[in-house]
Amino acid sequence: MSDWKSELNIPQKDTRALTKDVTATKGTDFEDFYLRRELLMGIFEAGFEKPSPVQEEAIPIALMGRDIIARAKNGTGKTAAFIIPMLEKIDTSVDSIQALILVPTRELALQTANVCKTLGKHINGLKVMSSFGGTSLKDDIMRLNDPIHVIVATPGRVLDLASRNIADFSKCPFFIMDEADKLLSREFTKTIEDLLVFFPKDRQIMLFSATFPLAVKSFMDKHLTKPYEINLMDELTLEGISQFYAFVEEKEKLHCLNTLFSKLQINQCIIFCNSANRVELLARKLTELGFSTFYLHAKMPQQDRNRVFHDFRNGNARNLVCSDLFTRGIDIQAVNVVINFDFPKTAETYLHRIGRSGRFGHRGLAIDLISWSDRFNLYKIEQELATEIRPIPPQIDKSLYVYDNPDAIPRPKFDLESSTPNSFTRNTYRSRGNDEQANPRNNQSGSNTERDKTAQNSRNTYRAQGLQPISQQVFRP
Amino acid sequence: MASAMDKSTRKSVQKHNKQGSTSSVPKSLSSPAVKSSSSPSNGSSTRDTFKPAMHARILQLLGRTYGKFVTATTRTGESYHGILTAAETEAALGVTLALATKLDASPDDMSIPNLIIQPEDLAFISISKPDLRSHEASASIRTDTDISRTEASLEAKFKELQPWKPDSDTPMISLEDSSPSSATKWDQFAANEKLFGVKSTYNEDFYTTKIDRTGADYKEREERAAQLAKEIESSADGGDRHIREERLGITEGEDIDEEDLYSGVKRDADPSLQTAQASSQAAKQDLPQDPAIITSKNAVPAKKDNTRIPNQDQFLKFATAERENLMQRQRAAQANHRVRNFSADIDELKQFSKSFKVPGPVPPDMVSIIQKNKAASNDNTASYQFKTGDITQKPTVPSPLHERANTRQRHSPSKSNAKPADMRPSAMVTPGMTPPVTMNSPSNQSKQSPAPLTPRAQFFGIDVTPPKCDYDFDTAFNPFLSSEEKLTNADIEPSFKVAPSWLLDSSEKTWDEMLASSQPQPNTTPMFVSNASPVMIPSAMTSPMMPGANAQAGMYYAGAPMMAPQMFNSYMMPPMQQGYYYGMPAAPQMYMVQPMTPQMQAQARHGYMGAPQMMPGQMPMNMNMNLNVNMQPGDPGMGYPAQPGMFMPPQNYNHPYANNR
Repeated sequence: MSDWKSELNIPQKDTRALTKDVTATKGTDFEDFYLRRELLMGIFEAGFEKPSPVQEEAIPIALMGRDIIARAKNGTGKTAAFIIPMLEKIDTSVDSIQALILVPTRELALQTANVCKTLGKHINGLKVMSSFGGTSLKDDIMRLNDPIHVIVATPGRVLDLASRNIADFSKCPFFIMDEADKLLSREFTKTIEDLLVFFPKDRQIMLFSATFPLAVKSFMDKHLTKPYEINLMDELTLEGISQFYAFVEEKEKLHCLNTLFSKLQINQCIIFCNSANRVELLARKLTELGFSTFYLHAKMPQQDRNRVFHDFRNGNARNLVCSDLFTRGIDIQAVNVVINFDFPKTAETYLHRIGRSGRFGHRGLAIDLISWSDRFNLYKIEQELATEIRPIPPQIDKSLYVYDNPDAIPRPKFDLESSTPNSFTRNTYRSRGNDEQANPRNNQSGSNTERDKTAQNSRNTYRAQGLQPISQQVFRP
Repeated sequence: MASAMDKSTRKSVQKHNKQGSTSSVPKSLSSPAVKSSSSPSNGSSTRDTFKPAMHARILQLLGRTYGKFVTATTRTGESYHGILTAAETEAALGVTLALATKLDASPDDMSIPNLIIQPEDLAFISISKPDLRSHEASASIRTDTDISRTEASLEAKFKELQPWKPDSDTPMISLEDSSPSSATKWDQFAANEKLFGVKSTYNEDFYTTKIDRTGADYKEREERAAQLAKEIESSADGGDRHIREERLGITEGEDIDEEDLYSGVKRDADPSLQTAQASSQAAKQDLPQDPAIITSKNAVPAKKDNTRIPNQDQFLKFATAERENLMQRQRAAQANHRVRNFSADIDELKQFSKSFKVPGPVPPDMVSIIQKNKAASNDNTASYQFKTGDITQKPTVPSPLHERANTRQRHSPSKSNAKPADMRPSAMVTPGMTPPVTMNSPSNQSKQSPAPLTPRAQFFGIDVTPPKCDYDFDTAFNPFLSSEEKLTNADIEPSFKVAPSWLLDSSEKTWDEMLASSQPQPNTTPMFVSNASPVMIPSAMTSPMMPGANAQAGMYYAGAPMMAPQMFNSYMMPPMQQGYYYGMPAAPQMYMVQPMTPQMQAQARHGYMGAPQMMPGQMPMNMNMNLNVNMQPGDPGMGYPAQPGMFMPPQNYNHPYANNR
């Protein structure tokens, strides 16, 4: 064994128990895939220890160059399952776009781009760009003047870039769709197919999602070549998530939520509402009640959205009220409670929403506030998912969602050692502690002191918040 | 699959042999004879090489044919037409046919419940249209409901929700409370910073590449980029919502549904789903706010069944929606009928039955009267179900297959009231007109020319001249339909607004389609068990009109056998005397039904009564609709098992199948 591993900056081990959603593997190690050293370094430094089941299945097949359609439960490592083989094959000495990762929402694009950067941290010269609407198109065009290897994008923006030949995909071997069921939903189909025209004939297509409410057969037949099917789900819901409902009157909802907040030990909490107005209203009410709360919905300016996404992920605020913009793919390890303030319409939305807690085989809580008009949807979704949503007990067993050692929960962390790599990533990423976050040495922007201060502030905020009497939520005791 | 097949068939063959009910092909002809085509070869090396492959192929073929009609020819030259229920494949091929009839049988011949043709007797079998397409999940990943269905939980239906009890010590607050500040715009960043000291740490470089802002040509590049960007942003978006959103940056529109935009998967490509969703939503809106609905409906747990069927997810969605729909209307209907004095109805009906004349050909002058009556019967308070006027409505009770054809044209589900337009005089008892055709599935019709329909005349065993009677008895006098009528026609129709989508899936041929393609079907009309309504006349079944009602309890399928192939495993066809008769004219063997198993009783109580499209293992659409029904055979309203001989087809009755075999 070489000693390269001993020099790695491996984060603190997450001691939380894992469910078999992520542990039921064949026992493969990342080394078994014969990945290049730089990539392995990135993987281990991100805190990954062993491949999850979907990674174990998908990585070797993807490395063989086959088209893949894969489904695995929420938060079981799908993102890394396509990013790892993709990064393995990217040749940074070639100045061309070599992979396109499509995602349905902008926030997810941000996140996925970051996972790419984290895992590819040691790959020399790797350029990962995210591109989506709401940000300056001009800036994106300028970015594409320089070498770019990976683009993470929403379909609309990237189609614009491709059709003007600003982004050249003619030599791009990877076409990856995360949340593929949504991206193959009817309203996106045309965009996706238009986009595929710009790709070479032998591109490798990979489709990943936790849900496939409809068969995507027609797309597969048309565009995929002998796709390898990975289905690791014999049930839909995650093992680690306990689902409860509270049957309330519409006007009681806030009261109920307030009661829940006073009873639950919340690390971080995502609350879903069904309209932008309600999102804002609720966030405001909660803030007035003394809970630090951000909100996020599609009608906000993108800069605000980015900021909320980043700050919430970074743990700057404990609660986030949001719309279904945040339903798919978002990975925040510290979230242990998801509340459906309004109940969703479709089963896949419900599944993705509750999948925001209990990431990577950990435990979490999902609580649905059910009003009279929601009850049919509740039955329907229960049935479609073959799951049971139980009435909320007076006391919820802490072992269902409270982690003994919140410090060990991987926290997002940012460093700007170069413009490329950022340690800000999914499941097993371990923070090296907040203090490094503001390390001035890593900051090339020249505003060292200011950033330092900001980070310091946010950290203090976090700690102070935990001590506030208004909230019994414990993030850091 | 092959081995499974082997095992199951072997088992059933054995089981069969034990039963006394089994007939066997004449043993007399057991000449050791030449080997049949599929028998193992005796030695040539080439053949040995081929043997395993051939065996596998035959197994596959038999597996696909299992439960479908085949024609087997014995060494004596007799051909039998029957349902392949078992096969002996060990050494040579032998088969067991259920409901076997000789090809040249006279109409009076009963079918043989189980005919075992031993390998030494079997000359060959012919299978028409074997379906050899792969049923494996081809290059299509399993859908969500495929997965949840494997765990098969039809159980948790309508459970009672426990209301959440607020603590008394927390102050009551509501989202809708308008605090004075809520009129103003709220800045979440400012508020959080002020109250909690939250500062943003966002930097876009965490998430994308840094723009190179150095270099002499920076300005020039920037300008060029700006121009390109402007071009793109001002170009036409082709009406694509997502593209427009990406260009404008901000999601426009007042009432956008972010679930639709960012999370939910659009289903409306599938019309059946669209309808299901629409109607379920409609049902929700219309539904009275009554908690009793939930509590009263959770009484009977649904039958658990692990059988997978094609497109089950879609079907389930559809069924769920339809169930909600129907429940609601049932309640409404019950409310309407609540005041009715049922004994008066019964008396009226008795009276009617006495005065009712067996309709021969209806005299032309009756037609107008009938129509008048019909008009009157539209009036809610007026006439009752069995008035002649109503007869004309019966054929409008759609058969699912029939209805499916309709749905293709009319997309928007115009539900409820039977439309006068449907009550065509052609459906009435009028001589010389063609019977309403409801029997062949549209898909079937497209594949082959419709089989000639033999008019199923004969009125309750009385030989009516002309023998060509145009009345569709099954539809018109179907007792089940009649009792269902308590809910008015409108209650039935929507169930079949759209055919269950699995029927549309041609990859898996249903029992029914198979039947339809093999011969005309005597009954395609769905038959429902009555709901709890006691109007169904109990022992006062004096009316000669309704012999069939007596068979209700034992009736699982009328006419065409309804069993799914897999059922033959557990219940082989019972001997004749155990069955019940359903007294509509058709081939007697087709009326033979099974004795009730507990499972079937349960199904019957759930309103699962042999609507032709429903096979055991599939959730009937009206399941759970009649949750208060807890009837046993013999209960009032359920009728009685028919006695053999209670009704038999007339001697000169010409069985419609006879020519086909």
